[in-house]
Amino acid sequence: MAVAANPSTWRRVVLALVAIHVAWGLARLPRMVAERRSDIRTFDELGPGLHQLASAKLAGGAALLWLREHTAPGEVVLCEGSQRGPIEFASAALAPRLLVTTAACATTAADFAGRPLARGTRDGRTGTFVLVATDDDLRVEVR
Amino acid sequence: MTPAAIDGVPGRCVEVVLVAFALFGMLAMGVFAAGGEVPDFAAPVAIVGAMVLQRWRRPLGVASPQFASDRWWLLGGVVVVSAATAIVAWGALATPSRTWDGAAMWDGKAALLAERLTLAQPAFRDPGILLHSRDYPLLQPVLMAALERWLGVGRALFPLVYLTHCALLFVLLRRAGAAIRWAVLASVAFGVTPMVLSPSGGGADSGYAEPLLALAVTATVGGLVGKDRWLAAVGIALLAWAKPEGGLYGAVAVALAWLRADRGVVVATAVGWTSAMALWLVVQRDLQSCGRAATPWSIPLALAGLGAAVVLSHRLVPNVRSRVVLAAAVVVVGALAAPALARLFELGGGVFSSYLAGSGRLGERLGEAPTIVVGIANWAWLRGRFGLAFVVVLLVAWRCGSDAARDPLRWLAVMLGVVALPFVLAPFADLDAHIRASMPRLLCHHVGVAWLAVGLGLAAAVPPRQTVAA
Repeated sequence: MAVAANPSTWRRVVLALVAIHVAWGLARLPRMVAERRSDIRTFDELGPGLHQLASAKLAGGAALLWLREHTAPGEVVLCEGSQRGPIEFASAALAPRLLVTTAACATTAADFAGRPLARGTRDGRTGTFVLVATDDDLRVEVR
Repeated sequence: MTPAAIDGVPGRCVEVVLVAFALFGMLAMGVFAAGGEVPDFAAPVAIVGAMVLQRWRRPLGVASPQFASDRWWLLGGVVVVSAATAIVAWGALATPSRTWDGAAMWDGKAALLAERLTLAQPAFRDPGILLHSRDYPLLQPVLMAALERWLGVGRALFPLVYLTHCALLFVLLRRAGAAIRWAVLASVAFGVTPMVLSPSGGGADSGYAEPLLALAVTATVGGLVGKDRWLAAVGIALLAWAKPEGGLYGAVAVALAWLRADRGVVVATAVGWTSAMALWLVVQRDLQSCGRAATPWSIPLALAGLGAAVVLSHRLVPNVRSRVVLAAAVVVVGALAAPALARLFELGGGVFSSYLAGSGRLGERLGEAPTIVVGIANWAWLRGRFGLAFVVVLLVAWRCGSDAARDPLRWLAVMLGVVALPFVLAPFADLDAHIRASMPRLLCHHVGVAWLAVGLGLAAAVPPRQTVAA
């Protein structure tokens, strides 16, 4: 092949490709800024956890938002079900609340590791809140 | 600026950052292994220690001369990398992680450790508390926690890692004798690679541990290229502590050194890998058992024996061809014995066991090899996520006139197989989704090495002119 036989041709081809790569990268810089601006704006609107759920087109944001509004930061939120999918963002969304599995703490317990369990009333039922997770959704139950 | 300043200042800064990361990582892992709490003075001690060690070691490599036009290349490189670093810093500091793994896995641990830099706290000790990927390596969270405690900006780690990676490529290429223009070009080409600068998962400010792992990969391969024992050992230690696949990459680096390098590099890589893995596996056992298991002394002992065997066999088998045969035999026997070894050393938890369990799916998944190969080709060459990085590297591999470029090219060739491995053994049923989610991140680990190979290839193809500017 001509390119293989001629080192200067090979060098020119490599340099041209590197130049295209760099030019392409530089041309993308404004887009990198715009993507971050839009990303940061959405994050500021939705908050941690919920932003990621929205970006990943996963359901469950409403349950996390409800818990954030109806529980105190120092409380423990019980959870059960799948550990994949939207539940992966629950810790970020609910921090500094701790998420503890119902296998480790009964819903009838008063506290866990010295922190009170999140309790209250929802849809007319009073009891301990449990975040129930499936692979693609989250819901809050009262027990 | 004098030639000594141009080559010396970035080199010293890069070395101080890398050694400080490794020293702090070693201190933190050691304290965690002992069940203690890392004191706040550990971070400044690591930085001062890194500065002292950097001054102590002798300079490596001879930089090629510089020319009047190089000033413009340098200026252009500094402007581009500074602008890109500013974008990364803005993206990193504006909010917590906005992407999947960053938010789900790394930020939470960093926040816990920033509060108290110890594993003796409920989230790490109580299996009932939800903690994503409990047994994942902790280097990134501890570095973020240290920066948070010390400076109040844990996420400053991300622009620091990005800038260090760009500077490392410049330094490695200069030390290999590349002209300033090629060192700048490769460094800038890496810095503007779409995947590296993207805000999505795996990008510089995404909060993922990929950028830190990629920096460790480039440092390790740079150490092998320049026969720089310190750099190779530091890079390998960072690999082991950054992400689970880092341990495997470190083993590959030891194997490549064992096959081709001199005794000093083999000793450095073997000691670096075995000691870092020993420390990490003790901490990992603690994480998996939530602090309930006794210290597994058998693991450090076995790794010490393995390290000694590597060094000794390098001396006893001087012929490269014999080493290749022996290495192939060790890989085959090791792969067959992996489940038994995992049982023997009780490496039963987390990602390692899920992949070992996947060895049963090997036959079935091998039938899907074309899908995996197409996945690699698609993400490396066709989707544009890496720009032309892996296209140019193919050209360099095809007609490489540089001995130095062969080390990074060998690394990339081996990594093609290593990158395919998780897809063969992964416990996920939907292979296409797994490839889509993981392939860009896995390839991103090696993009710095790709640009190192390109820079070395260019440096060999275009020898420096003989006239030096006044």
